[in-house]
Amino acid sequence: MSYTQKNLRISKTNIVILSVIAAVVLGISIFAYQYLTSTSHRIVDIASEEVRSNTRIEAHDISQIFTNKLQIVGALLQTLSESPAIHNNEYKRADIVVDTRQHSSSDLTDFYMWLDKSGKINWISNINESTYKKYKGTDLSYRPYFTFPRDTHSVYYSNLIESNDKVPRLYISYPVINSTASSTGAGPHSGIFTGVVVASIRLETIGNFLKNQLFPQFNSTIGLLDRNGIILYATGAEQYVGQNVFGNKFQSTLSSLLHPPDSKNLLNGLIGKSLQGNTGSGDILINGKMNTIAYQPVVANGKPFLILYITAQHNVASDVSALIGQQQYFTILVVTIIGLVALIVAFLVFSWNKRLETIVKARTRELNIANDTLAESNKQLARANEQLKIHDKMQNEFINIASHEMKTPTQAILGYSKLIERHPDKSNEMMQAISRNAMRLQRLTSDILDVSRIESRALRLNLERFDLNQVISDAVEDYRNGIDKSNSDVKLFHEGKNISLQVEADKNRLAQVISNLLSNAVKFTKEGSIRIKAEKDDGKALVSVKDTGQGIDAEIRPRLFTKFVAKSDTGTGTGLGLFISKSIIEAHGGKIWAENNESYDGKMGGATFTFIIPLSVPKEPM
Amino acid sequence: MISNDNDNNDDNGKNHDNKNNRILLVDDEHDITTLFTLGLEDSGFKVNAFNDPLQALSGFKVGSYDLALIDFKMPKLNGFELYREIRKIDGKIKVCFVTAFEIYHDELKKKFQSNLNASSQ
Repeated sequence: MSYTQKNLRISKTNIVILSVIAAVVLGISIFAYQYLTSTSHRIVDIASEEVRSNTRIEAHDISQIFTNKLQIVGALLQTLSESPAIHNNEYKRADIVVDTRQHSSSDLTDFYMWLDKSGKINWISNINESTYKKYKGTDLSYRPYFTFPRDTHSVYYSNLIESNDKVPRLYISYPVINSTASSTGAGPHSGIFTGVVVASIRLETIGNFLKNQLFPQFNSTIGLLDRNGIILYATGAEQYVGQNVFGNKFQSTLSSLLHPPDSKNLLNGLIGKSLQGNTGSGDILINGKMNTIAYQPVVANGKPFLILYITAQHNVASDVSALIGQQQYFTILVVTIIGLVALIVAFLVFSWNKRLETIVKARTRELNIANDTLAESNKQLARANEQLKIHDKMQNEFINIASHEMKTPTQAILGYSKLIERHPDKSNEMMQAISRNAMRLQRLTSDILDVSRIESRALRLNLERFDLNQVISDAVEDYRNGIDKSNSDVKLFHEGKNISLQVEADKNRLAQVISNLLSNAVKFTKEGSIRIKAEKDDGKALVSVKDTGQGIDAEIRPRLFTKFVAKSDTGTGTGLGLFISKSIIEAHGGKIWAENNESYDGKMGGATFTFIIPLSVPKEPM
Repeated sequence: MISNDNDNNDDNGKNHDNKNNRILLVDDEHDITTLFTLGLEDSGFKVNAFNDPLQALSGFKVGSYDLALIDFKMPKLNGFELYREIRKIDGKIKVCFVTAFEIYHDELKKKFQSNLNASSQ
């Protein structure tokens, strides 16, 4: 578990790299968004510009066509007013010329009329005798299309007029001036006013005409106002015809139609400008969609007669904008997904790296440990080898010395055995020598056996409870007898002999040690004293043997307790005693050591050998 | 037993009454010197035996002995050292080393050489 947790921990470098990836992804997203936004704006602008320009072109073209059409009507009226039949009040001929005019412009005009100088109907085109009788003499002198030409002798273009038959119409009228009949004035407009010719145009016809002019590929609507702001035509909004655009009814309709509210003000401002005879266009949001409205006056006789409006929605633009919006979201989605994938891949790579690193580290550690172990075991092997060599050398030396020590008494025994026959006089002496050497061989054999046991760790202790001081006393007694025989100058003392030193130990082995120490002391002490002392020390038995002999040679002292080192020159020792003694004491959990005494009176102070072994734990009374 | 000269060393020969029969015997083992002395004297040699090499050296004079029998391993002065001292006094004397050690020829030569080198310095 800790292993995987380790993997999930990501280093600072990795965090930086991951952050960089995230930042790059974010940057690309923002860039893509910005780029697409600006592109979309540009496309929308281009599309909108296209709509605007098309709208303006359409408004201009349709206005031109319409103007031309009206001028044709105007021209027909002029030719009619100059017709001799009209001038001469020749009714029969006049009805033909009037009918002809109507025939010429019947796609726009409704009918033509001829009024006399008092404003009464003289003739209406395309009517039969009975209808003519009904209308003849109808007084239309109150209509502006009569009064204006009569008063100004010039052409008249009317605003919306509701006719007597309740049909909304526009009228164009021309004065009939008889210049030949009078000589009161000069110039083109001088002459006698004899009547008016009028062309009538139904709004419905205008509407249909205009509708047909719209560019079929271009999704636009058309509207027409007169100079007073009265709605003459609006595509799909016929119910508003005849209303003033600034009237309450239409304005409230606009309010419900236009969002945001600003759009209404914009539209009103635009209409205001157009009514002053200007040409132009503007963008207005209608129901949240951008529309361009282009306006263009329809000019008649050099003056704005009507105002034409073309409205086109920015459909392409808004479609493009919507598409690009989708594209934006899609792009951001793609970039984000790529970024996420990159992050995941990076994360996986890091995790994998981390895992590999961990494995490599673990392997390296294992290898190092193995190396160390190998180095250590090599060292151990080298040490063991060294020890083996030393041991081997020691073993050789031991065999060498041992053989020497054995051969000497053996040779003596053999030699004496041979010579004893030849020298019967010395047989006693020789027998003693043979015995002595045999004993020496026995001692040596026993010591070598002990050494073998020690070295093969087969030295066994026969533990029993006894008083160590008693063993000392016995040994002292034996040696006192020996000293008394050979050297009366040496005195042997046993100090602290009343102390009880209860130990749990091998009695014979400890006796061997004490005997060895005493025999050494006796061997090296020619005069003075040997003091063996028994004492208790901190739960231990302490035994020391202090002599006044020659002391321990400084050269020998470090190796004193090893084999064949401290061999006396008296020839009685085996050179193994101290080694065996040390081994016995250590087997009892004790310690043995030796030191030279302080010298006195210029003489060597001798040596002291000391050993300690643990006292037995006193038995609790049951 | 190795000797560098055994002309006059004949255990079995009797009645060596010529002048070349004086032997110096040095060994720290009393029993060995006793045995050798008895054996050599039985063969007609005059033997002067010492258990202490220093004592042996102290009485040594040129021409006192024809042959010296010396042990290797002795306290105070070993066989090589004694040989060196004796050679200083008497360049003609024949010397025979006697030892109970198991020493092989190569080993002895090495030991002998090193001791001689040490003595010549």
